Amino acid sequence: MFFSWFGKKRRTGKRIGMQTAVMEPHAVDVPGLGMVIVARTVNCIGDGCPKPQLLTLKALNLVDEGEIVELISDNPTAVETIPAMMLAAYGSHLATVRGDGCWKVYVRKGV
Amino acid sequence: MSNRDVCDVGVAGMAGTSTKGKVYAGVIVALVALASVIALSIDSRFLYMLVYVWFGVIYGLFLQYGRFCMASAVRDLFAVGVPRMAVGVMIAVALYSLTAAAVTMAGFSTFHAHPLGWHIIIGGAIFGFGIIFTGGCASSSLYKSGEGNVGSMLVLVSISFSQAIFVASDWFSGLVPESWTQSALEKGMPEELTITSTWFDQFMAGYIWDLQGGTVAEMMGREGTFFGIFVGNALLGAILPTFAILVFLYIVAYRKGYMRRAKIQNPAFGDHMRGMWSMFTSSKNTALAGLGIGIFAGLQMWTTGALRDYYGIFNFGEMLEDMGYYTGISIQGTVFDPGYWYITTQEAQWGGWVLNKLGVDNMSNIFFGLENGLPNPLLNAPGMMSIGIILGAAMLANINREFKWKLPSMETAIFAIVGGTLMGIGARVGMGCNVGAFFAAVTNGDLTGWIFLFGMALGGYLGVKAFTWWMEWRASRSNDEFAL
Repeated sequence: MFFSWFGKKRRTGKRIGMQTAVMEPHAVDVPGLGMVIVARTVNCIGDGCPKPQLLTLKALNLVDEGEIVELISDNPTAVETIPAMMLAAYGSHLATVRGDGCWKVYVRKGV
Repeated sequence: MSNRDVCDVGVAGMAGTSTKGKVYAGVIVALVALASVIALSIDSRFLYMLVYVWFGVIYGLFLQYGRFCMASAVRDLFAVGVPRMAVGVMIAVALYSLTAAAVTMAGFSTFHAHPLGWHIIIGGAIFGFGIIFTGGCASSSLYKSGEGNVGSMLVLVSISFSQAIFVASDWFSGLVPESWTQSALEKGMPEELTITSTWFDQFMAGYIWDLQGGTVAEMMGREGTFFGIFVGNALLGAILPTFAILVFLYIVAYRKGYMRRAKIQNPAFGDHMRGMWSMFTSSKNTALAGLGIGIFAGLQMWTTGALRDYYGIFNFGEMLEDMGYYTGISIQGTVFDPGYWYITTQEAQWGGWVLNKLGVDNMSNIFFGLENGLPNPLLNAPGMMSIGIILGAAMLANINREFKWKLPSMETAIFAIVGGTLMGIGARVGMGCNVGAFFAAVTNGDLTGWIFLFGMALGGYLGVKAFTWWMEWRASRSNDEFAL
């Protein structure tokens, strides 16, 4: 009862700036990359390390090779770790984009 | 192009925020300068305390720039296999050891070696377990507070009060071994101290005081010599262990990914050298921050040492009494005044001071009453350094548009309080945090710091396991693998 209370926020989709995160596969215009299809969005607004890192890894495990995962985070430390994490994990860091009060990080499964 | 540059290619309209950030940063500097002038106009001897403040501001700038975080070093390594921060911290240790050696050589070192014993590994492990849940170590909780992270501020509050309560309460006195009580009694301490009532007092008087410690130079019998300080303390005590750890990190966490990326099938020696270099450069910001902290930490010891000579004191407590401030000073006439970078003890004093004002008698124990005192936070020199760290970090975060008031989720807040309590207890059992017991120790040739690091890594490893288990358990209960 108590624990389900503070897990509720994410399921309804957290608000980020003026928009709400889209959790389903969707197309995004990433500066420097053009239109890409995001297969899975991980929304970690308000979360500290190591949750953004661990959930990104988890999302990468779920998608197919070549698909793209988007991480939304307002934690600069976590955002900066993702490119280095992609060196160790089976994935590539595509771009980190500054959003409205947060960062969006795009990673692709596979080298 | 570094990651931070990419972040600057913004999508949303945030133009102008940077200028505003610079204005805020300027306002912070102006306020610190104004406070300094006011302090000096009250008494010019406050210069001694202002040295702490301004060095704190500089540490804050570097910590924020390099995201210098031991929690992230341990956690990223165990949780996601990223050695980036660990490499940065190790490079910082090697660089700081050289400046520390120069200061020791010049005769201005204020460093004292820690006693060697099992408590270091146990304290380090409790501390290491805690930092996984708080998401920050003692130093990074300060700089993250400066970034507007309310969760990190909760961690600071939790560290302060858990330590203050831990050192003064008799909740755990049933757990004290008889030998500690005996040994504590034999010390013949003054009547007004509760030497045999609380756990921590008996731990200190009956256990810690019986232990020996020393720097590498002292162990070699060459203290005060160039050979002892530079070869013993810096090279043998810090640089060689650092190098061994870096090679280990490369082999375990970096080599495979690098070779796969560079498409090298049968790596030769040169390939490994390039791989090592690539690992170092991926930690560039942290390493640069480490270099900066190393230089300024050395300069701080130097400045404080020189000022002590100039004013003819050995501790800030004497100066406070000279200036007419008599409250909160220990029965030896001292207050906590390490003269170098330190974090947790002054936080314990903040919590202790608040409890004291609320009517708790906590000046009769060893920690506050005999050694560190409970000065008013405005007269607490190392405490002012911590405030300086927060303000310095806030300045740079504002300039880089990284400042944001961030309220923690309920889960993060609970983790901050529970983890912060573990950090506080671990720091007191282990005689310091990742800065005082590890960073400042190993760089001054005190090998107990490596033991603390080992304990911290052990606790961190278990913490990551516990955290992952918690995440899985939460996910399994809510039919959504991302519902954390």
